[in-house]
Amino acid sequence: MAFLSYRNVRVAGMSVGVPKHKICNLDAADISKDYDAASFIEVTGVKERRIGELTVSDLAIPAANQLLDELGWEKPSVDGLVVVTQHGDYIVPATSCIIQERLGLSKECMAMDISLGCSGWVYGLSSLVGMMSSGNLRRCLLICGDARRRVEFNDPLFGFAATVTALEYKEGAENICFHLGTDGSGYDAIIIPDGGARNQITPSSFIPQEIDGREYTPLQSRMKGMDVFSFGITTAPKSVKKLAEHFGFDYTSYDYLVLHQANMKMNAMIAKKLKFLPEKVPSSMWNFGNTSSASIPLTIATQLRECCTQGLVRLLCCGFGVGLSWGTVALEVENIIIPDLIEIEE
Amino acid sequence: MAFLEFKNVRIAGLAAGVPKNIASNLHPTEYDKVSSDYSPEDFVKTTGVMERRYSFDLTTSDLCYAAAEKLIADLGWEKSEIEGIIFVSQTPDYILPATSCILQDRLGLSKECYTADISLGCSGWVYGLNIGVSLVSSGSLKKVLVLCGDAKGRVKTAVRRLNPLFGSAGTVTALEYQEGVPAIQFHFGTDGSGFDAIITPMVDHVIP
Amino acid sequence: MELKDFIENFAAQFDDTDANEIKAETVFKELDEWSSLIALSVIAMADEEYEVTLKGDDIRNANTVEDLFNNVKSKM
Repeated sequence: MAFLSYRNVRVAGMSVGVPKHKICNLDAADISKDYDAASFIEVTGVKERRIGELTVSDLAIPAANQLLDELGWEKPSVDGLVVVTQHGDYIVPATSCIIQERLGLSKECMAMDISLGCSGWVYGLSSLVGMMSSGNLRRCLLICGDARRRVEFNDPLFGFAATVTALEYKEGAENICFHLGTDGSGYDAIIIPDGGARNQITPSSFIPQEIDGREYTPLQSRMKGMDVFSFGITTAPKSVKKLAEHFGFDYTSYDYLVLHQANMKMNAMIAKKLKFLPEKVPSSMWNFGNTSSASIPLTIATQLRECCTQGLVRLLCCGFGVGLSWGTVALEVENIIIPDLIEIEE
Repeated sequence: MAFLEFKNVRIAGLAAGVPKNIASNLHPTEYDKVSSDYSPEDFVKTTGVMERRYSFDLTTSDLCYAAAEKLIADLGWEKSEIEGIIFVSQTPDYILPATSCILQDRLGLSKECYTADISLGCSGWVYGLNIGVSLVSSGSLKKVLVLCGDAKGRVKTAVRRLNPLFGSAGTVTALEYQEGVPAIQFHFGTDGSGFDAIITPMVDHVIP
Repeated sequence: MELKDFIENFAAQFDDTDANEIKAETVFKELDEWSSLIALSVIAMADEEYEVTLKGDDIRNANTVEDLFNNVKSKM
């Protein structure tokens, strides 16, 4: 059973970097075969999103610099960096190595990329917290997000973002506990068919196919919407309940439920099953769309900024999706540093 | 400073899966990128690579899967006891989803399984081991597999070519929790100023 | 679990379609209002009312409302 619990690590701050360039879905003429633009927005909850030509590291660097500056952390004091992305700057080398250099971190820095999406922030957090808990590493950055893809990408549900979560070792800091899971039988529920070793890139990888009224090439991701929906509404609530039962706490007592931002209706159902009122379930979909592994921290940093920077907040966060993979984390944040949203020009 | 140490983790076993095809650097074929600077004998002498395993079909996960099935059987582990897979590769099955998720299903492991892909190359086993060891050390996860390797690439080039320095392999390292095992110690470093020392700049030779 | 109740729960997912139009033998994907969003509502309904998980193939393979009812019943 993948339950983890670690003490002595605290979230010190969070920042968000997004492209300055916005697209409003009201301006998209051919947004869907079922709906006009206004209905699409009503149904999906995505009014606008940030996209462009910036890569994950382009968005992460300014966000990290701002956060480090406001935290007062010297660059050489950072000893660990994990980048969670499924669209890194290059196939090889890892984006974390590039960010190590561009940020000006010390060479005595552990840096690695984890390839996960919707569940990525929770998994990334578990990997760093695990390394820090016994004092091995003291100050680490978790960078999550997807930005510019390898090929053209204009799905009206998705937006680009990179978030930076700063973690520090602190004796006595309250437990952070995790529940994690995987179901690889759903591997093709959200998938890019070509571009990995299984289906190599060939000239036919660039030829569009029609799926449900939209065109996709084998290098663009596609989703089995109904399967992902039924997975989400069953797995997410179960994961939260399992976590609470295993560690013996009352999940309804938490201040906020922060879910991966993929589908408003799905999240409303999950919240209802877990008995969280809508005002305790923040969302960032309206302005940012689905931002992949950045969605949970982006929601915290933009929607819960006031309470997290000025007090103690107990958060229950659940990321679920591509893989199929899921993770729930229960943690406290107290008086953390959250800079203004960082908007980056191309 | 990136020094880490973790107690209570034992390496229970190691296995490697390789393709059956052997390419000999002494007798290069039409697939091998032959250097015009060296004769085959000199190349072998300079590089130390006499032969390597290759396949145009088997992916890293295919090789890791075969190695893992064998190792799990030899260890006498129940599939349901395995609580984590860390897959380290720069040649995963797909851009997304993560290959570790696919392996969870293919190996018949429980859904209550921690899975993550790490994208690193030469330093990858050490990083992957670090994560695996960290997960087991606290006693939360009792048995974890670190699957590591590189094989078939992501691009079908117009003309098939093999690099005479590289061979395909998928390995598995089985980790288990055991009280009292002395610490495994790690040191890590990164120098991103060398990012283009080993790089795939873009996809080429695909569109003629 | 009664077919009549299932039909009622199914019809409740539609906003603009008269409930009387939706019967056991209705080929639901041919209804004007049918959309991918209503499909999601039906999946949600099956989960909420019957604790049954429907997937894409279950919706694709059912022609009539009664087909769907039988599918849900078989999973209970």
